[in-house]
Amino acid sequence: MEPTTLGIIGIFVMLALLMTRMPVAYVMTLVGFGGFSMLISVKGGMNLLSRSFYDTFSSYSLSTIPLFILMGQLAFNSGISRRLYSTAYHFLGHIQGGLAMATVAACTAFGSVCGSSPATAATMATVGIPEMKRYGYSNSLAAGSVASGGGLGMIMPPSIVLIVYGILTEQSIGELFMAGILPSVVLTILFIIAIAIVCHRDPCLGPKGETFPLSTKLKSLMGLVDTIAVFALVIGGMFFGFFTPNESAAVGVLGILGLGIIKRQLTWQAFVNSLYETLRTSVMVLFLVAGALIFGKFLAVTRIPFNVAEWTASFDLHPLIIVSMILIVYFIGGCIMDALALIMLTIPVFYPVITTLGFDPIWFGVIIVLVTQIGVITPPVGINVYVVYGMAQKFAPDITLEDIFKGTMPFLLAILIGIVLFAIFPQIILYLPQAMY
Amino acid sequence: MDNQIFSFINKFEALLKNTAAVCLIGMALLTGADILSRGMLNTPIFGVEDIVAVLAVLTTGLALGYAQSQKANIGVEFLYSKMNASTRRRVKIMTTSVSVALFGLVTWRLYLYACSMREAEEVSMTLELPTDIVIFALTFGFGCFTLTLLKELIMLFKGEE
Repeated sequence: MEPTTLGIIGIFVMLALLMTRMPVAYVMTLVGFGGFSMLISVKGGMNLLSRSFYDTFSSYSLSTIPLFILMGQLAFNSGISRRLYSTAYHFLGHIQGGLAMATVAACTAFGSVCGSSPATAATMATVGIPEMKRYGYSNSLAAGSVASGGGLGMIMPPSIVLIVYGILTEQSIGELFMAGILPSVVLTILFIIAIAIVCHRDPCLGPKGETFPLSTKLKSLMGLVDTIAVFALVIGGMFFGFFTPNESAAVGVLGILGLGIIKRQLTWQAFVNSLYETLRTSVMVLFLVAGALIFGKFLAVTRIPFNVAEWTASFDLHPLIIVSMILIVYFIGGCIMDALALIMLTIPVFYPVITTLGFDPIWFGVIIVLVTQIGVITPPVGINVYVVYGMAQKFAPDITLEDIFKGTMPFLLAILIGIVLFAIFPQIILYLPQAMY
Repeated sequence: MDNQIFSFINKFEALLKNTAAVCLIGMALLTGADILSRGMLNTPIFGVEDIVAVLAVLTTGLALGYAQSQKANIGVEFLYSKMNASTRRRVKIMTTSVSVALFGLVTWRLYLYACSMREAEEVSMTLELPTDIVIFALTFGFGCFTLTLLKELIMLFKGEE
């Protein structure tokens, strides 16, 4: 059988298996191994299995992932979020919809120490929703702002998805981190504008909160100190060449651990839970990386990625139209599949297309993370929506899933505007990495 | 009998999980100590990359069974959630059986890979640590992971989810 034909059959088998809820990593491993064995040899396929798992699990550069996940988990369990929320609340709370704005701002700040979107959403839900409910905010705005704001953690460095993208495509993780900063800030502003518009149209959705004197506001800035310190140490250290990404992650872990112990906000149980949750998530991510590696090897042998790249380059279409088509695939895929799994599944096919069309891989990495971010707040997957719903049941049981999905709509529009903005002005993404590297 | 075996698997899994957790924090502490030693004494810790790579294998490898029992790996619920209970059970039996076979094969190949590394007397770059021991540890982790999958399969046959 022709390698390309076998490759196409392999892709269809993979899609069929995915529908059985077999874990994505297992499906990629199975199809990659089966296809590779048929094309090369069974012995070659079996060697590919053992080598890929050992190489992935023993990779020094990939050991960054468990460390950054641990940093996020420790931040999640050590009360940093409450201090960030308090600062944002002091500055924005008195505006119409100000508490929702404060939640979004705090989500971005928390995302700078926690690279996980659901963890950011879960943390901010416990802090933000009770306050918003206390001031009479609508369920949809309160829960929608938390679910959507949590998604900002995916793009704000240290983003786990960007680390994996960087490793798979051999791009600098430092550059990818830098590239994520401005889009996060722009998206935060767009989210705040969306809240302002929603509350302007219906002031009952987000009544004004307390007004604080300037001295109290300034005092509240102290709540930002530890986050800024850790962020500066982790990202700044990597940026100015003091640390490798691995060392930055370790510094972040020890920094947050130290702060948690000094401030007595990290209990032994919370520390142990952070370790266990990190193990769980790390295995999931690294299993996906190994699966993607095996599947990618199979696809490379079929030459499908290169044929697709040549084929799309031969179209008489503007490259942006081709990229838009790819982004539509990510948009639809993101609605039914986890962002990380989707990116790993598709990178072997789309990455050569993007480089052949002459797009910057750093720009593309940030853009696809943004597009798949939509999936965390849209049905049927909408992981952040379910996380916020689950957390909200403890203190606001009247919040329904429908409320949350409805509440995320203005933010969805803001993300789409952001993506168009970043496509028209790629410098928003590329300015920092180009200026610094 | 089944319960005794399941209880043994659970205890074993907990032991490996705790060992993996120690390796995880060890990775952070060792890297931190290396930075301090480099910054203050101008001397990096010799072979830190080798040790971190070993700890990385142990962290992930030994937690494989725990992650499986916690349903950590992502799947696509889209169509599966729309199936009725008996179809779901049949599909789950099929996919779990395939997974047991696949990762049983991975375990066996890793074992052979470790044996070949032992024969070749392959060692790490700086500290010259024997590579085969690390691969044997990973084989062990994959073995436990396959056992966890097998336990799930038996439970599915017994009608327990």
